[in-house]
Amino acid sequence: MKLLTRSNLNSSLLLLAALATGALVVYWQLSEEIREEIDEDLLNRKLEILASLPAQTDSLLTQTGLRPDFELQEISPEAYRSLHEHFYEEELYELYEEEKEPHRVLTTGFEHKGHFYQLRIHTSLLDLEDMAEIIFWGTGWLFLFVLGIGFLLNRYMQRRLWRPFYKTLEELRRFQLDASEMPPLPSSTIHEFHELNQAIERLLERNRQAYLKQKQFTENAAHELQTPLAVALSQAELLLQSPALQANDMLALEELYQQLERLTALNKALLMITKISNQQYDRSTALNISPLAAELVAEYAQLANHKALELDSHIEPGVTVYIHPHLVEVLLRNLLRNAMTHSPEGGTITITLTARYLQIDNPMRTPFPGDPAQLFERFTKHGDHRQSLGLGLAIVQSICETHGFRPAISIQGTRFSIKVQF
Amino acid sequence: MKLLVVEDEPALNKALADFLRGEGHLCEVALDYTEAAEKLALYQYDCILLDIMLPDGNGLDLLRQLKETHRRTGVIITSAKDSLDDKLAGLDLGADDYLPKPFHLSELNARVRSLMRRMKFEGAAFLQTGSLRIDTESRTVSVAGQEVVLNRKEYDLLLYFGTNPGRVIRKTALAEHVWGDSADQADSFDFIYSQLKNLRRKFAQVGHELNIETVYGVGYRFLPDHPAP
Repeated sequence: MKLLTRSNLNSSLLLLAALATGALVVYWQLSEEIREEIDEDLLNRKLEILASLPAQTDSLLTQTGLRPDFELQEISPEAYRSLHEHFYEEELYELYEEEKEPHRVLTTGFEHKGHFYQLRIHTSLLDLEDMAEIIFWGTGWLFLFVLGIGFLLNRYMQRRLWRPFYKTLEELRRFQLDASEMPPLPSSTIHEFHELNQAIERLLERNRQAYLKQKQFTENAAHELQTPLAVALSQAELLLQSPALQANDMLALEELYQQLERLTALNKALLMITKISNQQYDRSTALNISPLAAELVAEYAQLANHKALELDSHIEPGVTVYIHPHLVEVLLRNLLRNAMTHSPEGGTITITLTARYLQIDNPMRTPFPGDPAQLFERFTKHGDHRQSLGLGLAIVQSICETHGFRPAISIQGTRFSIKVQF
Repeated sequence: MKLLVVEDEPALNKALADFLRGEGHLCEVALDYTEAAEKLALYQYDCILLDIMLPDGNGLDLLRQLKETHRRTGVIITSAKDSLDDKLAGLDLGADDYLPKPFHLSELNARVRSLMRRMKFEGAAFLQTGSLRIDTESRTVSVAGQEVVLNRKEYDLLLYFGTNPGRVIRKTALAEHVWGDSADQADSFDFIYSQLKNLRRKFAQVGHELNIETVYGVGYRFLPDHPAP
């Protein structure tokens, strides 16, 4: 839920509670006041009735054909003695409304020329009910009105107030650790936002420095490793020519050689990934890659032919991609090599290059059990390939990342398919 | 041939110089830019093996100066920095070849010999080992006067053996030489095996036994015959 929505909702709920409480209090106070007034009216009426008594005949009529606002009933002296003057409410039928309506009733007693009477005076309470209704609707409309105004005001004010925050958020979303510059965070006169921006800037700068150092280290380490590896390889090759070597010495030396070569290849691949993600291949140009693709397919076709693999290529002419000339070759080679390594003998590798994507389909010896995206991770290997470094697709991934291509692998059983969308 | 090895890593410099001397060249060494510049000013070399990244300067500057004064000197750039830019810049400045580090010594030998032939060093544009003669200009092969017709890969393979007679050549080195960047495939070893079989068969057809012996688990060794004088 958005902050603005949330704060609007909260203030609306609060407003609703406040107005409802207010309405209840007003209703309660008014109804108390009105009851008191009505009770006073009833008592007045009682005095009026009592004042009119001396003019009456000895025996008062207790029932009349008309329905006055009071009723008389002759009662026994005992009943008179136990009768206390009191008020109560009662539902009485009203002709006009055609239903029972609440009435306030005063019950009292008096003596008239040796007879005892019970007097009940009633008056309608309808006023009160109408009032409650008026208060309810009045409050309701007020609530809606205040809510509407508040909503619009909030929207405008809060938006203005939170603008620096959203700007910061937008910058952070776009921020990349390897960017050459720090994102321009908006300055704000609001203390909290200012502090937030400062904290973010410090955090980003620290992270960026750490990242740059790490990058630098990887690159330096790879460079430093190259020389001793080159020396060791040359010495091993010199030693290999020694006539004193026995056959098993040669085998041991060959094993040593192979491990050194593996290290060299690993080092080269890691250095390449580092250089790609450091964007050191920065001379990208719009390149027609179709001729290169065709040339490489022809080159690998010879090896494929030897392995009884079929290369089936559909290369559209004039496919132009914005890329570094060296990296496009690396990309194509890695994909072709990957397909060749994993295809069983007699399989068919399909290569499709169009203006929008490059796709390579090939069969695999065994299905890959995990998430296909895992294959882009460094050192993920599949199948029994002693030579494989598990870096080929990681290189593909980093080339795609720095050039804005979208690579995706889909695997169905032993059918492998990789698609790079330009 | 007189060579200068410019390489700042002493151990590698020594290994390269030892190897080239073993190949019968006169070889001098320079460990940094200054030393190399001095030697180039004082002496004349046929070929220079030039590392681009030197502690006190850029090998490319050395190349620029050299090409102004000694046009006839062949230059092979070696660089750990396997960057296309360096390669292009080097070749632009007149370098004859580019060898990314690390490289096989047999590959270095092949490149040096190839450069020698292109420079018509000692007047030879062909390679003769025993009764085998490889004409590198017309890319034709003959043995004891009889021509053997080879395809491109077979020719490359044979030339590599011919340049490195008597030397144990590892399968990897062969694969890399013949297949370049597509070499890192176990399959390419099998492929080389079958190419060699074809080579032997083609020579057998003209009545010549091509003596390429297998060094178990490692690679192959070409032993040239000694033709009757």
